[in-house]
Amino acid sequence: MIGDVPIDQTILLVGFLLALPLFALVNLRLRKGQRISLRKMPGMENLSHAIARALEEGQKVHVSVGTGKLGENTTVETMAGLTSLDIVSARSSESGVETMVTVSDPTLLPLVQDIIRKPSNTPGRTNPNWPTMRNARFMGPGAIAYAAGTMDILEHEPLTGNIMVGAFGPEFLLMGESSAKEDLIQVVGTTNPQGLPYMQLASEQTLVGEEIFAAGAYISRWSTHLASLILQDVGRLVIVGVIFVGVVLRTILG
Amino acid sequence: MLSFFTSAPTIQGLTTLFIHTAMIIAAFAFLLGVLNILLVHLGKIARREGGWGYSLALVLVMLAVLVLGRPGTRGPMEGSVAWVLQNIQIPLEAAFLSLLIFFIITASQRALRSRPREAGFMLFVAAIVLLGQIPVGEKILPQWPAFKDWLLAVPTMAGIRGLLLGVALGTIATGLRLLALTDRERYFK
Amino acid sequence: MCGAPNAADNTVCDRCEAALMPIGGEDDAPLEPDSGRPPTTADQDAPAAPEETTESTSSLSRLFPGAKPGRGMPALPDEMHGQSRTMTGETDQPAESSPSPSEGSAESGASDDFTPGWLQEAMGKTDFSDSAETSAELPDWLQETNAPTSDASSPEPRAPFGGDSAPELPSWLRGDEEGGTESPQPPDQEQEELTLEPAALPSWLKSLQPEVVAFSDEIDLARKEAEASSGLLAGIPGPLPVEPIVAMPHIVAPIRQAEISEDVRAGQLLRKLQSRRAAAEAEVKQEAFRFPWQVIGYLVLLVALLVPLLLNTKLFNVERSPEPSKAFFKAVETMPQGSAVLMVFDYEADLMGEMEPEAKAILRHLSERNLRVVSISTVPQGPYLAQQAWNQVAKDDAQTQYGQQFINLGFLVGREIGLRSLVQGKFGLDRPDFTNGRLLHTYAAMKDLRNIHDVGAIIIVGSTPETIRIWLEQVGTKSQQVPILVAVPASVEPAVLPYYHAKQVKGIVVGLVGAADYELQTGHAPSSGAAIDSLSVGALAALFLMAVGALAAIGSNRRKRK
Repeated sequence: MIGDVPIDQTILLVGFLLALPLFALVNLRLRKGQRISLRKMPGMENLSHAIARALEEGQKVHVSVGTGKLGENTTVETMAGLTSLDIVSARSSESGVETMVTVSDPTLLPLVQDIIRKPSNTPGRTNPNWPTMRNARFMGPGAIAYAAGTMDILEHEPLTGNIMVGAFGPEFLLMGESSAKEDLIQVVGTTNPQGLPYMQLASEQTLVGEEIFAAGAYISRWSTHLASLILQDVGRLVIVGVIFVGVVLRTILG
Repeated sequence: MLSFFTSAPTIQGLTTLFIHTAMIIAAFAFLLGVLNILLVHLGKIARREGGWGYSLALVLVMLAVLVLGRPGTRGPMEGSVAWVLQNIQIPLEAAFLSLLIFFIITASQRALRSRPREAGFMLFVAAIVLLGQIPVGEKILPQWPAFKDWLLAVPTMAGIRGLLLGVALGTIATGLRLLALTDRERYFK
Repeated sequence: MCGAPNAADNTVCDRCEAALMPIGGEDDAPLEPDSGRPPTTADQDAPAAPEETTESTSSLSRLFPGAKPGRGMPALPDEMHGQSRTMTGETDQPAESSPSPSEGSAESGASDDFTPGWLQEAMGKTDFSDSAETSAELPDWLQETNAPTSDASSPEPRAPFGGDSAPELPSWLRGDEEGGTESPQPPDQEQEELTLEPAALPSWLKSLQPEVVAFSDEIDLARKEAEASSGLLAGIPGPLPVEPIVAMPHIVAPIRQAEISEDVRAGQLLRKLQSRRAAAEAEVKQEAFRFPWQVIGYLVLLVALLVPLLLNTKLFNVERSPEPSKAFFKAVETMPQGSAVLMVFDYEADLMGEMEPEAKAILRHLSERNLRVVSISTVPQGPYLAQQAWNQVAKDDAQTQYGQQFINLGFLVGREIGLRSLVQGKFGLDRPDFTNGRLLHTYAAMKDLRNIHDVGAIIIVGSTPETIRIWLEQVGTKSQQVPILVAVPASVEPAVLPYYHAKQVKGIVVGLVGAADYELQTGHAPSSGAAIDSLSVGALAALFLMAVGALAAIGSNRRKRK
């Protein structure tokens, strides 16, 4: 305890205070034009290709941001799903293709409506009739209710692509199988170890774990996303170092 | 977030205020969700789109349950609502998830055809764990459950921990972006 | 493109589907770029064409003396015909097969000036008065030159152009042209020449003459070129005429680039799509053929799951208690009687089959230990499922009463936010319970309970790793003195074991088998024996189907490789 704050929380606070200026510094350098090379990430390349292929077909692309909710422990996964939606929506609107989004948290509804409407409000592409109500749907608050509603959409709406990035559990398989049955181009990703095995079974293009956070950096090359990716790698190196030192010390000192 | 690091009364008071605000927003967002469902399905009914009969059933059942569990009643414990829950909602949900076992079979067949090595290895390990979780495994080999425990505790856990550490880092990085307000215009314009 | 014959009105080749263009019409591509256009009035009125054009055209005429304008062979202007005869030194008499010039050409005044009398007669032109008049005006020397034009032995070269079309010509020559220079031959003489001329060629020479090809189109041309059908070279492919080889390259049918219109493209695309659709439909039919196997697999699985439940079998007994389960039991056993337990029902109906037996086994143990249970839930269905589980336990024990041993606080809104609120705040005794809607402080079960720190233990019956993580993060870190026990489905076991090893969780009950094991520890016979049999037989059936699928996939892949 340091004061009335437990030691682990103090470590977190110090880590955060160190990370924030580092993030700002990296972001600044990237904005000034510093180039970085990203390691190969097959899942992300597949996501990019899948979006392109789905758009070539010219029909709607379905995007799911998961069964997670804002304000809960799945907030960050849901944000990753929103990033993917942002990318897909922007590319779709360039091709005149509509994006359909389903959510299981009604708090997300205005957010996703705004995202899919945003490209249509871009100067030169203004389209006040862009059907946001029909294309942004709340399916149900529970994972199963959501899966049931989404299965119906995947099987009966005219879709060519299905992109599901966010928090998913075993219920994913219900939707993944519907998608596979309809032969949709599918890219999926989650951080949930319970959902990943089902994703690996149902889809050949899976974003595993933290890969789902990298869409903004890999596909759109947003500087803030690149900066956070670099920060993740720095953190990864620190953790590997700490684990290695810990194992050595434990082995030597018993 | 500050309340996570300090128990100062001012911060705690602010935290409580924000939490209550968020809860109220979440409750109203639920109303928005219900409205979305109603509008989408009423539109389908009005346009006589394919499957509009299901939409009609959905709207009717939703309105019926809302009326039955209206304010002033005991909500889900009200006899009629409880009946709907007990005899429709719960069996439906349980049955729906139980479809997973059938879907697993189909998905595994497809995965075996397209990626025989990876899928074969995954299903082999799954078979070991599955047999270890039921009494049959112990009858086949007494050490089977212990082997299953080792599989879960060592290799599986190593993988999951690596995965979760990466996820935690991604979470922190995303959190930093949000805190630095760099993604504000992207999502919260 | 493929050379297959097609009907005249075809737009697409029946064999290779290449687009076809009408051959020989106005749009026909010329054999020689400079000489192919059919004559028009505009052409004839136009300024003089370059000299080489004339030469090449005359070469054509020399090469194909009997050729008539038609498909694939551009019509030669009439003046060219006349010139060709004079320049090559041939007789002015046409060959037997030589057809008469076209009517259109004959009407052209300028060209008529150069048309020999015999030809004009053949064409039905009888008005020579103008020419006779003009010939009278000609100077003597020119009349002399004109005089022997009918003489085949001394052909004189003529200016190929007439009228305004040759302004650069010297005045003397222009005057000749303007006056309609040529004197007509006396009809009798001309007739004589016409009849005698063919006989001038001996038969042996005629047989050596390269075959005159009547070109109907380029394909015919190529065919004739490829193989002579008569003469000494009959049957030998590619005979070349002796004379023209110097003047002109060997003639082959031009390779034509098919001009594909948008409609044709659209048609081709449609055919492609139709063929793809047919292939896809065939594939679907093939898939449909496999369909029964899938249904049979599903039926096998269904029977395996249902039979133990319907027959209420007891095939498999639980004989082993895992360490975390023992620790769970021990933690409950050591709690002082009358103390309160906060029991969290964080599962929904989808996993009720696995979670409810766990919840009931734990509730029964708590009830037997005379511990008070305060239930709460962060999922909407949780309070109802908690009440249902309690009702089933209370049915077996008449001494337990709602409000005494058990109270249902209901649904906590906001999940993590709600949990933080729960940790920081109080239970709120002035609010109603879930089951009866009575204020909490009126229940004996809530006695001395103001907040979460007053309970003796927290038992989380949760269906997801997130649920466990949230409770541990939001509540476990704030109330570290309160032991936390968890009950989870089998699929979540790997995710919660680390918490047990890190002592953040004091005990774990896992799945249906764990529930049976817990009941055994509390001295009860497992109530879910048939369910365990169903699970075991179902798992075996699933493994069997997977193995069959794996073998089928191996066989299929081998076949593909072969």
